[in-house]
Amino acid sequence: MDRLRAWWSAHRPTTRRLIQLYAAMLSNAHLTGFFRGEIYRGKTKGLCVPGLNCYSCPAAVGACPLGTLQNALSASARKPAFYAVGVLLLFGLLLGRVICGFLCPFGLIQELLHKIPSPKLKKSRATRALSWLKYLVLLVFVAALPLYFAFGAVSLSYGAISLPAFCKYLCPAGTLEGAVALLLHPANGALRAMLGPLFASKLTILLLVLAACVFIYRAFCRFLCPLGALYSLMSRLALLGVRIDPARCTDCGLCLRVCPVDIRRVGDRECVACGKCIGKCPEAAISLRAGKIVLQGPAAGAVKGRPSEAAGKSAPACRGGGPASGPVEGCAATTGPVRRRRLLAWVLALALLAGALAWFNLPASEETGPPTESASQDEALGNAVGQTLPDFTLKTLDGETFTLSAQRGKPVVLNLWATWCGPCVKELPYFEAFAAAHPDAAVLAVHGPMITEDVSAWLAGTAYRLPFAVDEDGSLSALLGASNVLPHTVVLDRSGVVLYNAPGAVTPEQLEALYQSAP
Amino acid sequence: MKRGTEAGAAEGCPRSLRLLRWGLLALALGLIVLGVLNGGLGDACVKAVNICAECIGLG
Repeated sequence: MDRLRAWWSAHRPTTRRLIQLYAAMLSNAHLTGFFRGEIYRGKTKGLCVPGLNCYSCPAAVGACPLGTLQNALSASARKPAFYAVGVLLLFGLLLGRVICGFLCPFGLIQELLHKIPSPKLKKSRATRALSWLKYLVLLVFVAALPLYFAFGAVSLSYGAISLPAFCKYLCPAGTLEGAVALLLHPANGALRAMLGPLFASKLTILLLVLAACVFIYRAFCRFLCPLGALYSLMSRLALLGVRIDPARCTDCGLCLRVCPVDIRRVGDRECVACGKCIGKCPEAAISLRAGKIVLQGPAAGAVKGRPSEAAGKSAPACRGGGPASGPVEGCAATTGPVRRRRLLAWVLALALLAGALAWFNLPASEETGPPTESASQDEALGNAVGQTLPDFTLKTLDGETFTLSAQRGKPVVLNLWATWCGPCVKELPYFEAFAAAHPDAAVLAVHGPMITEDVSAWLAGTAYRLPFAVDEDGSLSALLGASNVLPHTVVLDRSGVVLYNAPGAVTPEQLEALYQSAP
Repeated sequence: MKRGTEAGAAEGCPRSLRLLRWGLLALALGLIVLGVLNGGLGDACVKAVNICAECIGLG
């Protein structure tokens, strides 16, 4: 029993770790997503969480702020990115990089990896220099590339597209939380069929980042994370942060030496509020504060202005408590009323988490996507390869009517796309060229039911001559068995039999091959 | 120069910084309201409820 107690004493999670776990669970409360291989599609998905948490994670119940920002910047030629910018500004000004240390799920993953026994690379001038790299990532991948493709890429054949460049080319959180979770599910064979060089590249980056985190404390956070870079720009202004009491500080520099990241001073832009310095300061001069409210560390006002007396008190109070280890004997934080408030806070927090887990995992709380199977009772009719697609009629944007049965005798190509989907917009010229090369084929580009802007107005800025329609009620998507991955292409032969029905971009060569194979 | 006690002192946040902070917070809230009104929140939801193939390395 004593050994168990000793083990627990040495290994019990700190308050900060508990908060990290709590935040990770609250951000990813839709646990049934892992079992179903689907992402959550409820309305809370529009609300940004503060940390790096991919919205393609099956359990995610909110939106990644960085992904939201990139998508908003990509569309900023038509709509200013007020919401995304406002949310990031709010998070940064309230919490700063305390988000990194307490609320970011990917930060938690990095810290847990660092616990794996291995040689550790200490901070140095080189790591300090590398810490500037994340600002370059922020500038190029989060801001410049999405803005360029929103405003400047008009000379490209497909015009302006949505390009969340950091998400697409770098983000390891998306690969780990989204890809691995979705691709491993047996029901997602269509997604696995889309794997290619991009996934290989992202997987390589993910593995390198995870490996680096074993040897280097928070390697991604310190050197690459653009969200941390963004919040660091506001750390000086943030309401919450690690602060020094100048009246107590004797400038011994111990805080800088024990800090695992590349700070120049406590609480600067590199500080992730891990709290390691708080417990080590011999003068109890460091605290985590929200304005004047001390959240961790010595109580405000205690022994102020008398550092020598504080030093002579043999560190009662708050030294040696470890990072965010909670109250230590002698600190103001351990008194009765404070302990009761802490207990109440934890009870309320756990009640919130329990409520969230119930809410996000009950069937009624989730919007379901379009059914994936055809509703037809005739086995020959359906959307699977080899079946005949049931008839449908859609009004095109130029006022004509497209009826599938009227296309008998022609190969038919149906493409589901969206203005906000970069790969969709990029491949539209392929369908345009295909239609021009094969006037005997019927091609219809259908905008999916999730609409963010006037599709007609968007098309008015292009030179496409394809017939376009909008699947406003989602009935065509349901008929085709399309999932919530765009683009989605269906090819029918001259008898209306499905030759190809899959999500993902298609190449001109694929289209040609399918056309040639249509009897 | 003291290494540990440059600006960032616990209770000496200059008034100008405090004003800037609250001003920017007001701006942030204003931007969020504008973003909700111009459909930005809805757009965020649309993107988030569809699997971002690019984000997970597909395509």
